[in-house]
Amino acid sequence: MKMKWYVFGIVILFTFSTTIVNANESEDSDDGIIEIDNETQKETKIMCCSYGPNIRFLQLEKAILNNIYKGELIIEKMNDSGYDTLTLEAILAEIILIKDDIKSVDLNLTDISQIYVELKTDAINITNSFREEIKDILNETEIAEYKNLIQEKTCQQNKNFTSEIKNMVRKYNTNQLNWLNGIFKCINNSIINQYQNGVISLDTVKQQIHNYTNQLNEKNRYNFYSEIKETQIRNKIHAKITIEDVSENYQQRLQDRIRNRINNSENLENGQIRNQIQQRLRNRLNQTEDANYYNGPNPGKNGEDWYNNDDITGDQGQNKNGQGPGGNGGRP
Amino acid sequence: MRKKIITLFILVLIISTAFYLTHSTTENTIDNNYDDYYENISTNQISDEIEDKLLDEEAQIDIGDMI
Repeated sequence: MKMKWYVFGIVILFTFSTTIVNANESEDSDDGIIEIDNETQKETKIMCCSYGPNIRFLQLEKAILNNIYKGELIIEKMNDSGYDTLTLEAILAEIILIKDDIKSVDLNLTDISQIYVELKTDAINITNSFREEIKDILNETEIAEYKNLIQEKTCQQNKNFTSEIKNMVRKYNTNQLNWLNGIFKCINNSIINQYQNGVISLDTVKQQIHNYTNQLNEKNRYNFYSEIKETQIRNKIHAKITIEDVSENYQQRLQDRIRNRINNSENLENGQIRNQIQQRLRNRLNQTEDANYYNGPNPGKNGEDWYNNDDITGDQGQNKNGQGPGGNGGRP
Repeated sequence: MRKKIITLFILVLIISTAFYLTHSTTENTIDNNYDDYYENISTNQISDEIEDKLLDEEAQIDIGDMI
């Protein structure tokens, strides 16, 4: 009889111990680490280096400026064709608010990578909102026609950005090349200077490094590789930590950003657009507060769905023009 | 008393087996990859790392199209 109890005890203990192991494993994979696409993860790798934040925020601002320009062209053409574009104009006004947020970021902040990921997520989601809204208004043939129209157009302001980004990238690359040279003396300093001044291309510099590594013996090649790999791994770890940090207090930080945008939207001159944008932002704020309570969606792949359901839960009682009785927290 | 000792022994054996099975596979994989990774580094591998380390001046950030 006693033996039976011993066996029973062992079975219980074994089940208990395996459950603990499994629980720990599932905790590791589901402890709030959100899915951020690979490109964004790669982009945050340079945030801990000099000029890294400058480059990424300039690139983000350039991308969003380009979209604002194209959005304006689309709305102008739609107005000419007699379409009601109030909702699109409100979304575009929100994109401009995000652009202002990007522009006003202090690049010296310690959580700059986190801010970058969050603002980029906001930019992706709002762009998606604009695209979805257009799909509700135009048919496929018209969309193709509009795409052709704006394809060739480029924002003049972006040309200045392009040269500023190029200069910044050259400074960043020069730092990296100087670091490499400090360890292996693999490039002539004059080559680095020429590259920094835009006299020679990056490909020429890369070719010189390639020639250098070709003549290294196996051991030195290994050392050279190890040094580069080590810093790359360190940067990848930094990017990984950033992604984990984004999960923490994400909803709270998002609510702060939305509140900030509601305040900033007070400066909009067009009353109809101001009402519409504030309505949208307040609806979203309510949604995030609910999501926070129910531990709802975070940025990343799911974030898009969350961002686009304004019409489902938010604009109750409103038509597409934002007229009629407002939803939650509408502007008085 | 002897039964208790045997039981305890079996218990320890089961727990350590479970622990070994959940941890050893991953560690072995990492060790094997480490050995493979650092053997015979080619010039192309270094070029790939350099490519990864230096930024493309023309690179753009993709936030999606408006239409």
